[in-house]
Order: sequence, then C-alpha cells, then structure tokens
Amino acid sequence: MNCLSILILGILVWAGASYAQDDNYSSERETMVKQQIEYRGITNQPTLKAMTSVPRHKFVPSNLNDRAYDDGPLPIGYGQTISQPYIVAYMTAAIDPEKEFRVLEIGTGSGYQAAVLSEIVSEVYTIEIITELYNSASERLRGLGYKNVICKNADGYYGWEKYAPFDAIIVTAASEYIPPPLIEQLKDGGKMIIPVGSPYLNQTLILVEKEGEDLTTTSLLPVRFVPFTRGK
Amino acid sequence: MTGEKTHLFKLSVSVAFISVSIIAFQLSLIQILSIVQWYHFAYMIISVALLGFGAAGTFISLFRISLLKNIGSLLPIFMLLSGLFMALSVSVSQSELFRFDSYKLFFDFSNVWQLVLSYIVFFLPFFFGALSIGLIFVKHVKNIGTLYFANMLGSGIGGLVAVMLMWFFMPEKLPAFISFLACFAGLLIIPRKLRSGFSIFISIVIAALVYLYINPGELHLSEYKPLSKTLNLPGSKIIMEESSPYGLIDVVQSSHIRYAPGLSIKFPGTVAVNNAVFNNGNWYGALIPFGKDSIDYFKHTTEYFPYLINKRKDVLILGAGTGRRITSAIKSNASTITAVEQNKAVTKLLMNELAGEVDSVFNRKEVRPQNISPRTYLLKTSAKFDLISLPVIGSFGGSSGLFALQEQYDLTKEAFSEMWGRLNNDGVITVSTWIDYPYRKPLKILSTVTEMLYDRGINNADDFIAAIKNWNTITYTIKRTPFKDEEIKIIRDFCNEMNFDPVILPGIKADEREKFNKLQDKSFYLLIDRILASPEEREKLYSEYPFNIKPAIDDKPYFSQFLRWKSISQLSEFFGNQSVPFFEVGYILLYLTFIQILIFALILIILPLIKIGWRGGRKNWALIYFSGLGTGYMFIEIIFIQRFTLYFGNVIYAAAAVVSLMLISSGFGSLVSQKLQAKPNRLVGIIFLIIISLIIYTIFLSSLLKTTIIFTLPVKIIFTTLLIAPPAFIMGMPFPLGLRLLSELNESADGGQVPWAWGINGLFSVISVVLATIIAIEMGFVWVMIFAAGAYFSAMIICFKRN
Repeated sequence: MNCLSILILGILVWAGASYAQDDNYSSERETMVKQQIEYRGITNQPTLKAMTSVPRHKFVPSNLNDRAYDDGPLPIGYGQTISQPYIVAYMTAAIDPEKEFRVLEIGTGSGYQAAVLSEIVSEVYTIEIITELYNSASERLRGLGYKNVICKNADGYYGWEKYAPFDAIIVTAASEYIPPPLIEQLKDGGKMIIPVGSPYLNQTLILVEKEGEDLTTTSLLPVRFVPFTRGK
Repeated sequence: MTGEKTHLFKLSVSVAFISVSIIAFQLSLIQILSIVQWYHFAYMIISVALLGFGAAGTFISLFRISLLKNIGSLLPIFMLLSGLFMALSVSVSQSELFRFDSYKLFFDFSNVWQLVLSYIVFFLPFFFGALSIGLIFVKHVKNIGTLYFANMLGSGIGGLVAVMLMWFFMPEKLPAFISFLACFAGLLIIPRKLRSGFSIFISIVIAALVYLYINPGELHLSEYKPLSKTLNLPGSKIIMEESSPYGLIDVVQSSHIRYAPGLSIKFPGTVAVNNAVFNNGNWYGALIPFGKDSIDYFKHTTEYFPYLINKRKDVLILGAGTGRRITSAIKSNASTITAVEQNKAVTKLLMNELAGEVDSVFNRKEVRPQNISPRTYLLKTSAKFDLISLPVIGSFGGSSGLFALQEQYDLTKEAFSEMWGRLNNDGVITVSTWIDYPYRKPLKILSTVTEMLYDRGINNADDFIAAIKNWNTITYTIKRTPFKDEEIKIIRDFCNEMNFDPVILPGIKADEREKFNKLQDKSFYLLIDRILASPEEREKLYSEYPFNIKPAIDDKPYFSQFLRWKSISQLSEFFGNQSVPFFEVGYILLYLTFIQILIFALILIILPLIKIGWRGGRKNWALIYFSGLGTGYMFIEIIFIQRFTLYFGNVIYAAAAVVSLMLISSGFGSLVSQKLQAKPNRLVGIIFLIIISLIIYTIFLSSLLKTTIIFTLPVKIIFTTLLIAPPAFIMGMPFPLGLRLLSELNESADGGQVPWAWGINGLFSVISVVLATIIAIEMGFVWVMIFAAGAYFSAMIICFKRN
C-alpha cells in the first residue's frame, strides 16, 4: 500500500512539474511572439496565434529545450536546423494562409513549420528526404496530435502530385533553382516561398506568384531593414 | 671522426629528422582539418598548436638546469612522445569527446570546451618535438650554426615530403606514417648505456605507432559540410576517393543531386540527376554527361546570353572545374575551347577514370585543358578569344564568408584588364554571381569591371556592360565594343522569354528592371547606377557603404572580404549579434586567432622572466632582436609565396617550393655562420644587407616576375632559385649568430636567456603569419614587405646600440 501511495505521489509530482514546465514555456512563447515577431512587424493574426500555441521546445533536441524560444535557428542534426521563430512566422504570413488552404511543405525538418501551418489551414502535406528526420518528425507530429499533417519520406523535387494543386508551397530548405514540378503543382493564384541564404543568415525569402501562365518573383526582406544607402 | 664530431653529426641528423616530421605533420594536419572542418578553422587551430614551439622555449627557460642534467635520456623520450602524439592526433581529435563543430561555435558555447581539447591534442606533438630541438640548441649553442642548418634543412625537406606523401597516403594515415620519422630521430640519439632500459618503452611506442597506422581512426566531417549533407540523402554513396595535395577528392553517386544554378522558372523540362565531385568535403562540381539532355537547362540560364548575341568560336573557360561550361560551349558550337583548371588531380580523373561520367568532354579534340591557375594562363598567353567565361562567384546561399581570406587573383582589377586584352573585337567576358543580401558580390564585380574600363579610358561603361538577373543570380557581360542595337534587342527578347530582367543595358528604362523579378529593397538599382555614374560617385559610395565593395587589386586580392570593422555595430543592430559572424566567419576568425595567440604568446614570453629575472642581462636586446628576426623572416616568406604563386600558377607547388628553398638556403647560411665570429657589428652588417635586398625586391620583384612568366618551367625554377636563395642564405645567419652572441654574453650571468630568446623567435614566427594576413587584407602586400624591412631594421638598430 505504501508503495502505491509513493507511486501516486510520484506521478502527481511529475505531472505537476511537467505542467509547471509547460506553463513556463507558454510564457516564453508569448514573449517570443511579442518581442521577436510582432515587434518586427508581423500582424497576420492566424500566424501569431499559431506561433503562440505550438510548443516549439518539443521540436528541438532535448538538450536545447531551454533555448527553443531564443531568437535564432538551432541545429536539429544531419546538418539541418529549425529556423528562427521569426523566419517561420514570416514564411507563414507571406503565403496569406486561410482556413481552407491545402499547403505543401518541402523539407519537414523538425516538423515545426508543418505544425504551425496545421494550426491555421485545413491540410498540410510535408515531404522530407532524410529518412531519420522524417521518422522523428512524423512521430512527433502524430504524438502532438497534428492530425491534418500528412508526412512523406521522398525527394521534394517532384512535389506531391496526388494532392496537387496546392494553394501554397513552402520550401524550407534553400534551393538554387525552383523545381519545375513544384511550379506545375501550384494553383492558379497560388504562392510559393523559398529561403535564400545560409542557415544562420536567412536574410531574403523569394515569393513566387502564379497568375495563369505568368510567374513573378519578389525578393522579400525578413528583417525590418533600412536600406544602407539612400539615394542622393 | 672524433667522438664529439660523431655525436654532433648524430644530433644534427636527429634534428633534421624531427624537423622533417614536424613540418610534414603540420601540413598533414592542415589537410585533415580542412577536410573535417574548414580551412580557416584549420588555420586557427594550427596557429595555436604551433605555439608549442614558443612554449618549449618557455619550458626550457623555467626548468633549464634539471632538463640539461638529464638531457641524454630526455631527448629521445621527447622525440618519441612527439611521434606518439602525432600518431594519436587523428583518433583522439576525432573521438566523440574531442570532436567539435566549428559552425556551431558561435551559437553553442559547449563546443568551446571541445575546441580547447583539440588545441591540446594538436599542441602536444609540436611541444615535445620543439622541446627536443630547443634542448639540443641550448646544450650545444656553440655549434648552433650546424644544428640550425640541420633544423632548417629538415624543415625545408619536410614541406616537400608532405606534399609528395599526400599523393600516396589517405589523409588520416599520414600523421601516423610521419610519426615514424620523429621516432627514428629519437632512436638515433639514445645513449648506448640507456639502450636496454629504453627497449620496453621503444617497443610500446613502436607497437602503438604500427597499430595507429593500421587503425588511424575515421575522419568525421562537420555535419554542415556539403559532402555530409549529400551523404545524408538516401542512397548516396562515395564511389571514388583520391588523396592529393590539392585535397581529398570524393566522387558521390546519388539519385538526388540535380545541379542547375540560376535556372529560369520558365524551364519546362526535367532537371537531370548527376553524380558530383567534392574536394575536402566542399562542393566542387556536378558530373554532367555531354550526351544527356541534362545540359539543355543551360539555355534557360542567364549565363547563356553571350552565346545568343554572337557566335563564339574561340572560348576560354577559366576555372573549368568539372567541365559544365565546356559542355555548354561545345553545345553552342564553339570550335576551340581552352579549359583552364588549376586542380590537376580532378582534371586527371576527368580525363581518365571519370571520363565516362562526362562523356570524355576533356578529351575532345576541340578542348585544350591547361593545368595552371587562370591568372597565370592570362599572363602567359597571347591568344585572343571571342568569349572568356568565369565560374559562378560564391556558393548559393552564401559561403558565410569562408572565402574572406582567400586570395582570388582571378577577380582583381588587373585580372579583368588582362582578360580584356585577350578579347577579339566583338569578344566578351562573362561572369555570374548569386545575388546576396545585403548586396555585396554583384556590386563588387561591377565596381571592378567599371574601374577596369575607366582605367582603359572608357568613361561610358554602361555602353559596354550588359547585366541580366533572374530570381537569384545576375550575369554580367562585358563587351570589347559597345553593344549594338540588334544585340540589345536579342537580350531583351531573351529576358522576356525566360522571365529575366535586364539590369544594365544601353537605353534601359527603370520599369524593365523589375518586370519579372522584384526586389523589395530597391536600393540595388541605385547602387548599380552610382557605381556606373562617375569616379567621384563611386568613391563616395565606397566610403558610405557598410561593406567593402571597392575592387580587389593584386596587392590586396581578397575579393570575398567585405566586412568592415566600422560597420559591425550597424550590422549587429540590423541582423542581430548571432548573425554577424556568419557574414564573414573567415575574417572574424582571423582576428580571433590573432588575439588568442597574442595572449598566449605574451604569457609564454613573460613566464620565464619569473625565473631568469625581469631586469638586466640584455633582455631588451634579446626581445627586440629575436622578435624582429622571427617577424621579418615570416613576412618575407609570405610575400615570396604570394608572388611566386602567380608566377608558377599553382599555389601548392609554389608554396612548397618557396618555403623549402628558403629554409634550405637559410640552413646553408646558418652553416656558414658557424665559421663567423658572433659580434654585434657583424650582425649589423648582415641585417643591413637583408634590408637592402628587401628594398630592391620591393621595387623590382613584381615586374621581374611578370616579364619572365613566359619562361619554361625548368628555366623558371632556376630563375626562382637565383632570386630566393641569396637573400634567404643571408637571412639564415642572424639567428644562430645572435643566439651564440647571447650565450657568450650571458655566460657570466644566469645563462638562461638562450631558450627564452629561441622561444621568442618561435612565438613571433607564429604571430607573424597571422599578422601578415591582417596587414595584407587591410593595407596590401607591399606593406607586409615594408613591415618586414621594419622588423629587420629594429633588430639592426638594437645591435647597433649593443655595438
């Protein structure tokens, strides 16, 4: 009987500690959204809400939990990173996500971007080429209850024809060219966003917009940036 | 031979062998660290490890009496330990506990601990090797001329041995192999009476070396290196691996590598899968078969338009790499293609074992491969071309400034001027670069070509330059004659077809620049216009812009060095402190290295003073004299490497030849100095000669090399020997003479200054290597030469005073 009491007490203490920890992170999350995202000019409400609710610390290696809400990217292994929170928010806001959207993500990584999208849109399809990352991310997303995220372990070059066309495509890994199949799988009026820059210096994002046969790109600045040299 | 002479001979041979092993180990370590990390981290780690030389001087100063008392047994032990630590360096540094990732250093401080451990691992072989040399010098200071000769000769040979061995040994095996030389040096000098006592120790060490040679440990590349990332892709594997002094070449087979830089988003086809080549774990190039459709994407890139506006019969491809642009030229009906590529090892593979992978493109009759640096080829050739093509500048997504310290002679103003001189009447130079942000590379390229044209009397550069961009690249084409209306029309039509935008084109309208690919930060166009506007406007922009976008010149050939100290706070404000190091890791590391070694060096210089006293005993003289010699010698060595790299067209062989030639010549100088009396006035005279030769070389060397660059290789080698050997011979004298003088002057005092002075010389040699790079970047190579003369001058003045 004594043993049982100790066990119950132990569970309660552990649960209490976990609750306290989560609660602690939720306040860090709110600070992150306020100081890193809103402060830099992102106003898209669904994005801000999603960033406030997704537990980022569950998407980073356990030894980096305490740094999960830092203003920077973090390594997740295999030479990959979980992007800076602001970049995730910026990319999400850049596609103007709506509830009924079907979004394709190329490069699942930790699964964090997919989780953020999943809070906003109805369907998220995410592809990861590195098997180990795919396994951990899909398990993590399943474990956290993100039921509208479907993962695939494949080469992102081909997109996901079965579920095409997509309202938006987010390519999270920098690419020196835009794979033609992705352009084809983008809906008319759809948007695609691709980062350019080293993992620790994502300074620009390329927004591709498709209007019928017309394709245009815009190089966006994710930092609130004043051009260095003004015209004279 | 008398007993004493035999002993001296044995000691000299031993010193020569330990010196061979130390230098060869140093070079093999640079190669290993360049593979697992990046070159500049190798530079930082080895600079700290080389402080082992200075630390040995400090150690001898502190424990001189007891060390000298037991020198017979200690010398072989130190040499054997040096060998053992060399052999252990790979397996220990690559173990889980010691392995660090340089990329994480700036945001994960737990890596610093591993970095410190790595410093210690690499420090020990140098420390014990230097300790044995230093002890021999101190004990036999009267014969320093002969022993220093052995030291210099061994070091000179060590450089050549290392380069040669790199052709035959895989990098991880090399330190263990070299360690046998260090052990041999130790075995040579075991006193007869101690041989039986040593036998167990020797057996253990040799058994360990054999074991470590067979099982050297695996090299673990940083997970952020392109090779590691590629091997993470399912099914990717290394199908060929070759070692060479140019680096470790890996050929990777993968069903996921698709190389199509700058592809138009209108490209309708499929980007084919290619195998790829990596050098030291870095991307080198895709193996694109000639016959496949894979190359058709080329016609959908900004690089294609020079072929569109005119026929290009004679094409010069600079930095041909794996031959992608050769294939493009053949597909565009070029009749002769000169492919210049410095990396002989890769070209050899592409012409033989890998010929099938690229459909023997390098072996085709219209292709003329040249294994030489592009710049040297331009200086040598008298041929004219319709098109001169440069490789895409930088790597996609930025290299985080890893090339900031790399001398890029192909991208200097003088290089573009030579290219211009090699063009036919309607010929063009074409160069593409990624559009980085904040804007740097596209601006620097434009400022370089604009200034080149201006220097040639062309004030209306925008009539000679066309630039088009897509979403991530910009291609500049510089034409020998102004662009004609029909050519301008072709460019416009091509842009419309491919979703590209003209950025510079005669008669361009503002809205044309943003038809398909918009930039949120439109200052790009304004900056471009300011560069083209006038020399005054350019100069104004150079001083205002937070990055260095002034053209690189031969005296400061650092094209990829953009960061300026005055802008760091501004950049931190915009991008955050964490991001700033990644703008230019190389540049930041250079200063970090300098600060580290300066702190360590000061500690190691000051520490012996506790033992030998702070005042008197000619310490000021020793400090100024030996620091001056260390600094001056290394500065000159670096200048010679820089000058002769262009001359020979091959950085590896030029560096090995220059360093070896200098050290061996200095060794002979030292040997001759043994017969001279160590008097201050003699030192003044010798150093005066060095300064005079430096002044002569500062004035005449560059032009002398430029006029003789067309000579055949054997003539060049003889000429180089004639140029380097005489000053290096004289430069070998002041150090042994100075040590002898110090020893004689201190005989009546405490006598402990010889190891201290030797340590100072070693420490300043290490500091000088880093300092020379800083001076070259900030002020130019001419200043390195001037400072070298200054360092020798200070040594001369202090001798003059002594006199």
